[in-house]
Amino acid sequence: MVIKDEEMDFEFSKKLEKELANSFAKCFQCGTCTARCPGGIISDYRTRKFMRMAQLGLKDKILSSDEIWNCTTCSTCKILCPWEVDPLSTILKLRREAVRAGHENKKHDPLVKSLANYDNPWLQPRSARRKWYKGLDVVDLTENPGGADVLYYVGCTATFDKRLWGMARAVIRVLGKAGIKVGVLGKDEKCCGGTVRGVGHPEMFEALAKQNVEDFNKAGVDTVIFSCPGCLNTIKNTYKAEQMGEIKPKLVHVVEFVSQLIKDGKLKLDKDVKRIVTYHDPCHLGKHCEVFDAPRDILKAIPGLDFREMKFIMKDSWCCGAGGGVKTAYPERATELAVNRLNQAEETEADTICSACSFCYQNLLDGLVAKKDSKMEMKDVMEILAEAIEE
Amino acid sequence: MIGVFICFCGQNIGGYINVPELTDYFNNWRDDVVAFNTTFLCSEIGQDLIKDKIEELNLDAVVVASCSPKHHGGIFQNCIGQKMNQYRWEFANIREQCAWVTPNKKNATEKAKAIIAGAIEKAMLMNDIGSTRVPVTKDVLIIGGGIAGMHGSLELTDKGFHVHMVEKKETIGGHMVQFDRVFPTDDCAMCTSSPILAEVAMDPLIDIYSLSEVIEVKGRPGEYRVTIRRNPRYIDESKCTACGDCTTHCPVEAWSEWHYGMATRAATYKPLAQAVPLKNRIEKESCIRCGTCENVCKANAIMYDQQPEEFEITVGAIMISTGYDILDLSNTEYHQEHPNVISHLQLEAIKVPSGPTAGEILRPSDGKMPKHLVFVLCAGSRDRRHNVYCSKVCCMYTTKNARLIKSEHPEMKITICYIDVRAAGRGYEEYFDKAREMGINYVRGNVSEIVPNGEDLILRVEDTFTGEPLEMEADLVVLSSGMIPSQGTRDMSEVIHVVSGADKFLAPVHVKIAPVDTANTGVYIAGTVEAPKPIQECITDAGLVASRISTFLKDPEIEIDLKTSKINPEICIKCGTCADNCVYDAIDTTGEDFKVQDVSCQACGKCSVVCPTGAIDLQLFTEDQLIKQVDGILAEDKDSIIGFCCYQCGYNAADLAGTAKAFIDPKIKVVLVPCSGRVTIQHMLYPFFKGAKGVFVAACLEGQCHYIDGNLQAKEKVKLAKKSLDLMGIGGRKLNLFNMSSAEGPKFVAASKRMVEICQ
Repeated sequence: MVIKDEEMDFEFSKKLEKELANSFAKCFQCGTCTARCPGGIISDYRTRKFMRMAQLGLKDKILSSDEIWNCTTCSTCKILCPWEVDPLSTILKLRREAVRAGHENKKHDPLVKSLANYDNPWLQPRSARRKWYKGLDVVDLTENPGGADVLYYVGCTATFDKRLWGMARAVIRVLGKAGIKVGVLGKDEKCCGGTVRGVGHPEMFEALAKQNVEDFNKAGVDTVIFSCPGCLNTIKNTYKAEQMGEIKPKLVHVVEFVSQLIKDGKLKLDKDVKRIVTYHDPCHLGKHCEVFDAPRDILKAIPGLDFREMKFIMKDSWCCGAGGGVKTAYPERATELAVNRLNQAEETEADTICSACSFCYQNLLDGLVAKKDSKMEMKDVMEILAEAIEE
Repeated sequence: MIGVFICFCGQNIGGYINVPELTDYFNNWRDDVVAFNTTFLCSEIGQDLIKDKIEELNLDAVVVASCSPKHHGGIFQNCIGQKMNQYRWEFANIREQCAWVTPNKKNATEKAKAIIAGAIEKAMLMNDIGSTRVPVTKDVLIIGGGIAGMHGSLELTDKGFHVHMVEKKETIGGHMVQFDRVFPTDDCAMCTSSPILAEVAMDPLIDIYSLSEVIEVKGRPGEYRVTIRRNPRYIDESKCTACGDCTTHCPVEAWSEWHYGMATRAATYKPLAQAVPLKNRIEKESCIRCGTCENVCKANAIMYDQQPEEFEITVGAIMISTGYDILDLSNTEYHQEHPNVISHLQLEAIKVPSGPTAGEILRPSDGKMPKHLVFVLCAGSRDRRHNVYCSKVCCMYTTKNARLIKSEHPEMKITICYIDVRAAGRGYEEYFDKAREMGINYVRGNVSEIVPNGEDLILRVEDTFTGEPLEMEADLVVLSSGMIPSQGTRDMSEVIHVVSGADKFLAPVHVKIAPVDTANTGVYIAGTVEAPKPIQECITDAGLVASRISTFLKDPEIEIDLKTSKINPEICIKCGTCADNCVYDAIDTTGEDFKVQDVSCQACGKCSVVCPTGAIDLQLFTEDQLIKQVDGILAEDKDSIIGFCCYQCGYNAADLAGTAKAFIDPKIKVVLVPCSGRVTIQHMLYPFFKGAKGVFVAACLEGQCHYIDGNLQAKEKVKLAKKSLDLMGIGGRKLNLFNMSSAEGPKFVAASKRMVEICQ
């Protein structure tokens, strides 16, 4: 097939490049990004090719492509690029252009519709947001602003997937043990908007972002704690980059907050935990927010625990496969990547794989089910920590 | 009395400007000014007119109103110099910058009046500018005894110069003598270089100081006083016969730096059989002081208590050839700390016939021959986290090593991962072509990950041609690591104050037309001290340096016109700001009074700009001359826009606009300055006080200032002056800096147009 002159829309290319700082124009097609891309393992998606097509302005070819939806937004491409161009931002931008041109991925429709109607991607009613903390000592800050020490933004995934309630409840238990009163937004908590942005709907993202900024500022606390690094990255970094408004409270992941409590002696770990544990770095916590040490510090502080590192960790960590809308659109591909990561974890001979991300939790759990033969157990760092605390 | 000589230049000026009117005007202008005109001032008739009138009227200075000084300036300087001091004249460029750019004859004539008036005012302040002669020393210092240093030294001694060669290592020879073979001929590196080593060793005009460093350079071009530190060899060079008895009996086994850790050596050793000087050395860090060598040395050469010594030599010129190192990629994503990930220099150390495996390719971890050898090109090159630049030679030496190994071991799988193969050079493409024919596997893709897997390695790379990610298993990985300036090279920018680039390689004065000259007169650079380059280019550089040095030192004395800066000791407060701002190290702050070393000074004037008391000033283009020139222009036409144009670029661009017969608004009046860095904030503000409508500075392109950073300093000053103008209510927008090359006439036209628009 010959690419005709009229298919090369350099205006399109120029406009994209102008809107994206330090982007694809300088790419010299070395392929460093592509060789290590998780999306490239599960599909024919090639990061480098999209950078090239963007240079050539092959608008129609890019926007109608199915491959572009295989990016898990793990950011490995951005970290590895020797020329400091930013393939990830380019891909996200191209997705937005695709949706605008009517080429959205139909498999994301339920997610997008759910968000439009219920403020969450899981087709669940708002009232169901209260279920996970039933029976726990938690303050609803929308009813009682300033009535707690911190706001815990639990995130949609842990709110609605019962398998993750143990994680969210562990957070409340651990913080309670340290004498910290935890508040939530109850039924009024809303999606951070990261997923809809990732699948190409910036206007929906903007509406959610503005609402969240307002809610956080009204809560009357000076710290907001996150379990989901996707939410944290979106609210801390993306809101800022896209000027969604200033958030007054400090934004931290729960592992950062808790590791500091342990360092300050405010949280005593008094029970042995007889586990051999390995830790999976969530891309959005590690590569995006650069939190690498805090979860490890917690695990190393737990008495009796045997902590083992996998071969690929921190910035070199492999993605679990869930992000970027891949799990929603192609669950079997996301599971394939989860299995890939679990195989790496098994090399350490750990009996437990833990992480600090709702989405990684969900996907690695699905991976364990798919693997069938695995003897490993999936846990969140906070669940393991809770085991080290006397009731 | 000032004599103004106005040229018709046939119709070139006469056709556009009313020359008789102009002559009358200046004849009636002031009592101390007389004016003449003639058809061609540059002709013999014209020159005779000038000479006759100087004598007849006893003129104090001359104004030549004709073409650009870049055109016939030399002729007039020579002509005037026959009757009075050759600097007692000023030009008024009424051809390129007036007649040819002003279509209306009346306007052109008016503009010419302002240009000539400015020139007269400047000429009133002209003084005699003398010259001085300074003696030169015919000795030359060569720092770094690699292939460039060796070749340069032989070229220089052939021309009769005495050479002092300083080498940091225990032997001269540099990297080349560590290589197995060299591309594209596959010659044995040692066979090619050992005759050169021997020739240098035997040359009576070369003094070699090994294990030595240059620690201080003082003095001036033609007479540099150089302090050298000679580090102890712990062996008396005059007694050692290099018999090797000490090495044989030494109980120590240490890693050999010379072999990049690929082999071991004793604590007393000579790095190679052809070492120059051919003497042993005791390496102090690994020596255990057992005394064995002292006992076995029949020559009594062992000197455990030898101390470093410092001594001074005097040389006329300096060649720096301190070379390169390579990136150490240990503990990076390249995992050079893994025993089976080695650099190309380590591979050379293995491959040389005199190496630890007698030239056989055996991997370090277990001494086995690799089955799959992967070369990683651009390791740390074209990478913003390491070297942004391309190291130029890696594609070729990697292809060379792959070819040599493949021809010995056709069964071995050899892969080269690359981004682009850069095989530009005579015979290079053919060399690369042959490599593919031999079955070497080229994969177009940058290696994105090297993962240690026991003693082997796993590499991830995209084959960008098929668009498929590859996962390769290798049992030996060779990194074609990027080149960086050696420590010695980096030291030189401190010790001799040679300017370096962002990449820390030393910078030539002009990368194209003066590739081995530095901003420091009498200091030259050759080889990889300037940039990564192949051996033949190092040799070319060295030959050129030898030629440049022999030109510089050809006479017993150098004559210098004293249009340089001068310090008035009466008001100098010795703060040293001028010296700090001088990239040529031309200000001697050691004596009782600070003094400009005329031979070093390049007359850019950047010193006078920073002097807080006005104690230092150029002797041509003085502070007062420039102010008076502006006065003269504005007295004739107060609506002028004054353009300070640098001699190297801005002024040339203005001339080119004229040559192209472009239109330039007659409001624009050019004032020549040696460098934009010579323009003070006062120069920028003063014209406004006298009613000028605008001021601009036309400087070289950024990074291309002929005086290194004058235009950048001007940029800062323009920023400050803009603020002052804003505060004064005049408006900072009426002052601007324009960067242009000497060839960019259209840029000057655009700049002028813009100024006229802004300053309506």
